[in-house]
Amino acid sequence: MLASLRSRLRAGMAVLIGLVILLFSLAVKTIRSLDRSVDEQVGLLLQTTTIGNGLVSAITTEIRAAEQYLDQPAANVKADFLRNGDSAYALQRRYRDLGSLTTSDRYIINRIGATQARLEVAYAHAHALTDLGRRDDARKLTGDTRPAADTLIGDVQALTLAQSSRSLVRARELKTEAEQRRALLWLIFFLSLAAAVAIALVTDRWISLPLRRLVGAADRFGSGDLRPVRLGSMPTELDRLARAMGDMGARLREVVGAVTREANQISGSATDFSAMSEQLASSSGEISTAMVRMAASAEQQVTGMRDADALLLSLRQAAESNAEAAARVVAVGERIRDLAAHHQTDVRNAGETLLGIREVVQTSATQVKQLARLSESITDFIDLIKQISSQTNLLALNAAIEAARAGEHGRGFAVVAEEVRRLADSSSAAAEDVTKTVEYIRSQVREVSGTMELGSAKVSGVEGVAAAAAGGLEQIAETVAEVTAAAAELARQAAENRRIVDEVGRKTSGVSHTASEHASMSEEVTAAAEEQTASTEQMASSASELLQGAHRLSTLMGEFKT
Amino acid sequence: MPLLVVTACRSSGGPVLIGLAGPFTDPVGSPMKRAAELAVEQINAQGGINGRPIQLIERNDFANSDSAVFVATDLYNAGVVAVVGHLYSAQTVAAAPVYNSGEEPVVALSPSSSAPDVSALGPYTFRLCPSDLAHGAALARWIRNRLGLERGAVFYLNDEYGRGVRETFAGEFGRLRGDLISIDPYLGDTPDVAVYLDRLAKNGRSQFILVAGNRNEAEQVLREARKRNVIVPLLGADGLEGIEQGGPLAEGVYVSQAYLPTLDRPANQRFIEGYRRKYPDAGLPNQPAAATYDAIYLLREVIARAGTRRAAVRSALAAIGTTSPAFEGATGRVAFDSLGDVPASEVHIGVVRAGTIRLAEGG
Repeated sequence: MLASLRSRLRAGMAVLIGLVILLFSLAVKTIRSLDRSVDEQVGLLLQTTTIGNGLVSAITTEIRAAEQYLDQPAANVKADFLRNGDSAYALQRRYRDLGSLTTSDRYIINRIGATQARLEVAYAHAHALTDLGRRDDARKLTGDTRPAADTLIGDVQALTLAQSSRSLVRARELKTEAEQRRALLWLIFFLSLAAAVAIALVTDRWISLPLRRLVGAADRFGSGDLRPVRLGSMPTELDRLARAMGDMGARLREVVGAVTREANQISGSATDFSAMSEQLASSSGEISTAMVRMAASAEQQVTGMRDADALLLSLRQAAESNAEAAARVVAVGERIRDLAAHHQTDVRNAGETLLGIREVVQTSATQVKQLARLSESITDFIDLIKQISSQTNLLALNAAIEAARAGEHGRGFAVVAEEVRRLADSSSAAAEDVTKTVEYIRSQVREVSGTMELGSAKVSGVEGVAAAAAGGLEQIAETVAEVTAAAAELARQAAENRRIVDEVGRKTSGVSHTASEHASMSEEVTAAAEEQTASTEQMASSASELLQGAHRLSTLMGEFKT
Repeated sequence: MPLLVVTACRSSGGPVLIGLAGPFTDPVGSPMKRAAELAVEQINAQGGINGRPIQLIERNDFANSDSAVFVATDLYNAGVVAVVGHLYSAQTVAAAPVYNSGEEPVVALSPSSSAPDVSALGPYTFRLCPSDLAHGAALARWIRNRLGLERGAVFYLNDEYGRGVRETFAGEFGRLRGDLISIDPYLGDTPDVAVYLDRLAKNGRSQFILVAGNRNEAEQVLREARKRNVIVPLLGADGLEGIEQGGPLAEGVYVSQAYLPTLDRPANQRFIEGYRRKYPDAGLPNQPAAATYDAIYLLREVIARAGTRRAAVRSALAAIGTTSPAFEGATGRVAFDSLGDVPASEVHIGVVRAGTIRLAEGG
C-alpha cells in the first residue's frame, strides 16, 4: 500500500487535508448551528416584544377610547373601542401561537383575555349609562374598573418580561454551548496538529533514511568499491534504484574479474613470447656467427685450394650445422605463430568483454538518468502540495474574515482559522524541506552520473589498449611468417650447400670455382641472417608493447575492489 | 421480556384509548358525554375496532380555558389515540397548542367549536360543525332577506365564540346594508344586560335582537326585554341550544342550527333511536351530542384503517372526503378541507314552537 514515495506522500497529505477539512466543516457547522439558534432566539424575542408592545398599545388605546366615550359619546369613538379590543384579542391569539410558551404563560394569556372581556363589559355598561344620561353612575363604574385595567397592563408586561428573561437564559445557555464547542474544536485542532507532526516525521524518515543508505552505496561505487551492498527495504522508486545499483555492481565486478583474468593471461603469454623472441634472436646470432666462420673458411678454401679434402670436410660440417640451425628457426617460428594465433583469440575475447562493460555502463547511465527524471516528478508533486497549502492559507484567510464578520461568536473560529493558516504554513515549509531533500538526491544522482561517465571513459581506454594488443599480435604473426619463410630459404640453401659440397668432393677440378661460389653464397646467407635478426627485434618490441598493455589493463582493473 | 409482553398487550389486545373533553356538568355538555358513551357501547358490542374495545378517558374542562389546558396536557400524556373535544370554542382555542405540539401531537376533534379561529389552530385540530362564519352569515341573510328587518341590536358573549358570531354577523349584515344600533358585550357567568335594554327601550328603534351567546343569556335578555316591553324577534346561533325547553318565553326565538334532531337522515334516525332507548328521560339530543356520536364512529373507521399511531390517525382523518370517501353521520356529510373544517355542512334556521325547534319556513 505505502511502498512508493509518491503513495506515502499522498497518504500523508490526504490525512492532513482530511483533518483540515474536518476541522473546517466542524467549525462551519458549529457557527451555523449557533447562528440558527441565535436567529431563533432573536426572532422569538423580536416577536414577543412586537406582540407584547402591540398588545399594550391596543389595550391602552381601547381603554382611552372607552374613557373618551364617557365625555364625548360619538359613534366613531365607540367603533375605535371595539376595533382596538378586537385587535388586542388577535394579538393574544398570536401570542398563544408562539412556540416558547409554558403552561403558566397560557394561564396568563387566558387571564389577560378574561380581564379584557370584563373591562369591556364594564365600559359597555358605562357607555349605556352615559347614553341614558346617568353620567355619575358611569363615572362610578369606570372608577371601580381602573385597578382591573392596571392589572391587565401589568399582566401583559409581566408576560413579555418573562419571555424576554427566558430568551436571556437561553442566550446564556447558547454562550455556554459555544464555549463547549470551542473546547471541542481546540481538542480536534491539537489532535490534528499532533497527527500532522507525526505524519511529517514519519514521511521524512520514510524518505531520508533509504536515501541516505542509497547515497552511501553510490559513494562506495564511486570510490571504486564494487563489493555487494545490503540496502534493506525501501520505497518502490528507491528500491528500483537500489536494485539497479546492485545489478550494476555485480556486472561491473564480473567484468572487472574477467578483464583482470584476461590481462593476467596476456601478460603471461607476452612474457613467454618475449622469451621466445630472445631465443630466436640468439639463434639468429648463432647463424650469423656460423656464416662469418663459413665465409672465413671459404676464403681459406680459395687461398688453400690444395688442402681441399680437409677443408671440404670442415665445410660439410659447417653446412650441416647450418641446416640444423635453419630447421630450429622454422620450428621456433611455427611455435610463435601458434602462440600468436592463440592470443589473438584471447585478445578478441577481451575486446568483446570490454564492449560488454561499455554496454553495462551505458545501461547504468540510462537508469541514473531515469532516476533524475523520477526525482523531477517528485518535484512536481511537491509543487502540488505547495499549491494546496497556499490555497488552504487563502481559505484560512477567508475564514478569518468570515469569523471577523461573525463578531463575538466568530472569535473562537478566528483563532481556529489562524491555526489552520499556520498549519498550511507548516505544510508549505515541510514541502520546502522535501524539495531540498529531493534536490540533494538529484545532486547525488548527478555525482553518480559523473562517476558513471568516468567509468565509461576508462572502459573506452581499455578498449583502445585491447585493440593495440590485437594489432601487435597481428604484426607478430606477420613477422613470424617472414622469419619462417627466411628460415625455409636458409634450410633450402643449406641443403643445396651440402649437395654442392658433396659434388665438390666428387669434382675436385671445380673446387676453386665452387669455393668462390661458396664465399658469395655465404655472404647471401649472412644477409638473410641479418634480415632475420631485424625481424626478431621488431617482434620483441611488439611483445614488450603487448606486455605493457597487459600491465596497464591489470593496473586499471586493480583499481576496482571486487 | 416483561416490557415486550406489556407492549404486545397494548398494541394488540388492549383497549383503544380515546379522550373525551368537555363541560359534562353543563346542560349543553351532558348530552355530549351521553352520546359518546352510547357510541362506545354500540361499537364495543360489535367487537370494537379490529377486535379491540374502545376505552373512553373522560375529562371535564368545566367550560374553563385554564382547565382545558390542564385536561389537554393530561390526555396528551395518557397516550390517547385521539381526543373528542373540546365543546366550546374558547376551550378548543386554549387547548389546541397542547394537542398540536411536542413529539407526538394528537388529533383533537371538536364536535361544536364553531369560532372562526378554530380553523387555523393547527394540523391536529378538526371540527365537525360549520364555523360561526356560516352561522353569523346565515342569520344575517335570514334577517335581511326573510324577515326583511334592517336595524337591530347585538348582545354578544365576550369570549371567542360570542365575538366570532358577532364579527361574522356584523360583517354580513353590514354588507347587506343593515344597520346595527348597538353592539354590547356581556360576561357568561354574570349576564348583566339590564342597562343595555334600558337604552334599547329608550330609543325604541331596534327591530330585532341578536344574541351571540348561549341559552341562559338569551333567556336573560328575553326576560329583561319583556320587563321593558321591548317586543322584537330574538335570534341566536347554535349556542342557544336547549332554549326550546325554556317555556313560553322562548316561543318564536330563531336559532341557527348545524343539526336538528328531527332531520330524517338514516344515520340520524339510528342515533336518535339509540339515544332514546339508552336515555329515555334525557330528552332529544343536541348538536354537540350528535357530532360527538359522529366523531366516535368516524374515529372507529379511521383507526380501523390506519392503526393507533397518532400521526397515522391524523393523516387518515385529514383524507376523509378527499382521498378517502366522505363519512355519512347523524349531523350529515363529513368531508374535511385542508384546515380540518367541514365547509360543506349546512346551517339550518329553526324556530321554537311549543317546546321544540322546528325548521323555520325557508330555513
